[in-house]
Amino acid sequence: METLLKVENLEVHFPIKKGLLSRTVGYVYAVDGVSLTLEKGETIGLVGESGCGKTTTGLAVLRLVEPSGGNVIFEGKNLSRMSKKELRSLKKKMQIIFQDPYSSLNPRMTVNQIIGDPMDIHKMYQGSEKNERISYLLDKVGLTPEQGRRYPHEFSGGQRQRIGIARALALNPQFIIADEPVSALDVSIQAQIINLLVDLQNEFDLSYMIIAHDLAVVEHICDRIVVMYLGNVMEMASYKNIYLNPKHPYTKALLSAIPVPDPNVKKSRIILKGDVPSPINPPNGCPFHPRCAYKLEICDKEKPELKDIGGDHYVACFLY
Amino acid sequence: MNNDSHLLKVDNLKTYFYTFEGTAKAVDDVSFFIDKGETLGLVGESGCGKSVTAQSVMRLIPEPPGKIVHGTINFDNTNLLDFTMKQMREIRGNRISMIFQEPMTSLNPVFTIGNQISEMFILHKKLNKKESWERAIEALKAVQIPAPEKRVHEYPHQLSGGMRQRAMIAMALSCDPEILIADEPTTALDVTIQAQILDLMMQLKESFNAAIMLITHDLGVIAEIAQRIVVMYAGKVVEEGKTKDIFEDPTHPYTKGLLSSIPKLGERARKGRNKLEEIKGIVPSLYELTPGCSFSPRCPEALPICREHSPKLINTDQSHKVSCWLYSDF
Repeated sequence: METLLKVENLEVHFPIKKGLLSRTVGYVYAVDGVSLTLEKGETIGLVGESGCGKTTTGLAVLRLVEPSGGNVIFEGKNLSRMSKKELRSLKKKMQIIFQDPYSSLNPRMTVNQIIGDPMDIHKMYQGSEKNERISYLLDKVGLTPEQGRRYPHEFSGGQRQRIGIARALALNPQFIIADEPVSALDVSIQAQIINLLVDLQNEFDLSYMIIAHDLAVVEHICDRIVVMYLGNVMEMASYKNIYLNPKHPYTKALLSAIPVPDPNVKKSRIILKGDVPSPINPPNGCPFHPRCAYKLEICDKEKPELKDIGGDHYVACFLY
Repeated sequence: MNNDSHLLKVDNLKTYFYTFEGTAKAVDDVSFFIDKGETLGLVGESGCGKSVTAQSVMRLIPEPPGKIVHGTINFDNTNLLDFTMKQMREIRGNRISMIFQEPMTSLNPVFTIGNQISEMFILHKKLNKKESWERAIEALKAVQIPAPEKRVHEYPHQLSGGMRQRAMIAMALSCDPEILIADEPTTALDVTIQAQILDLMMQLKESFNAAIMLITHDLGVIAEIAQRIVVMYAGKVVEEGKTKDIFEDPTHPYTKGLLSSIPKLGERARKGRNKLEEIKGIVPSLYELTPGCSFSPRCPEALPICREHSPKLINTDQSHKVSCWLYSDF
């Protein structure tokens, strides 16, 4: 397998500015040293609770927010050292689908204009090719060419998400980041979009990074899963290992917390005490230690490194 | 009428909203009941009328544009719809109380938590300020908020989301209500916090012996805590039954579709990936409902009659009801 994307020690620290002179008084440690790789044609899932830095990681990979440290290597080229101009030509290979299909489409543009816009910007598929490509894409995502002349407000949430997907596909990318692609949709619509994403991946040989908090959705779509907590990777393994053989205490608690839609399943639930600490003032050592039931003495002093425990299963925990 | 056995009995409730775009029949002929100490789950997608049903029971429908045009809501053998607003205020928060989805917008930001909880005791239990303040601290202790003596002086913005929801629950349960209506109580929370809150609600239910009406779109939450389920679609009840029956043997095509369309945790890891079954089409707008059964345009098993006449809610066995022509005689 060929590595498409390699993220090394990615850090995003947002400065907190205060006072008349806007002096920096501290940092929000949104992403604090994330490393991962993505093979061609693979789907990787980023999961975690709100504030764990999963969205910021996705944005920083595309340099939609500037990383404060670390490297993002896409097809052997280091994105984090590129100028904006160089980056632009690479961006047609990397696209993103946003969570909220209501605010991520320009209300003043028709669907045809929305999907055609990236083609104009990158001067691809011009002239009659453009219209052909637009109707081809609309067909692929399950919309009719007639619907292309309408405006976003005329569509339902699920249909809007289809428009967002068509826009992401416009330039024939290799890599798509989907940030919570179904969480804003109704339950009966989610399956449609999940199936569409899987079908498109097979057809166009896409690599996905799926960012989501719903572990059942992530398990269904992703080959490998990265569990994040407070800007750090806690565990990284194949979907099978994460669900059948979770190692990190946080992953175990997270999985046990999810209500199962089957009244016959009686689960022993691990209830975590307390809340997620603030990323402005993260705990010393392992970020999870204040809520961890298996805390060792070393946990609040040193930060565990992400260790390979065999079988492509990585855990950041002193227990292993 | 014989409603002696039921704590709350809603019959043929119709709540409509009159707007410039037309009449939205948000709740259209809904009937259900809750028994003492029972947990009833109200499930459905956005716009199916589950929240409006709850607000109708509390008489919180803004008039205009909304109006309860038909039906009865019998609570303890009296019809709540005949009550004056003054009588209603004595019921709300005291005998029937409610917790909302977003605790940040339903708590008053300019009063302390203690202030807001003790108000309940002053209003409903006629206690004096000092006593009610002490009761507020006890209430916070009951919902397992650490250092309640300190937290009671704090404002809502100083608490985290899970903590705020705990404060809401403390307030809702402060007067030992007979019914607690919880409208998407954990939707805005993370899963680990959701687990804490659900666990807390079940513990408190045991000790207070209140009936809970839980409104949610999350079938997982429903499966874990509800004893009976009412499934709603486009303002109508499509199926009603015991939780076990609904999940094991759903009868309405919508319920069936809903249950098979959600990915289940661990299923792919154990059995491999199957394509999810989709429910075709989109959730209908309440302004453009088709005649007949509202689900018929999306229904894989639709009959010609489904597009002409609405089916009635009929019993398939003693506790299971369904509203579908597949199970009715024409």
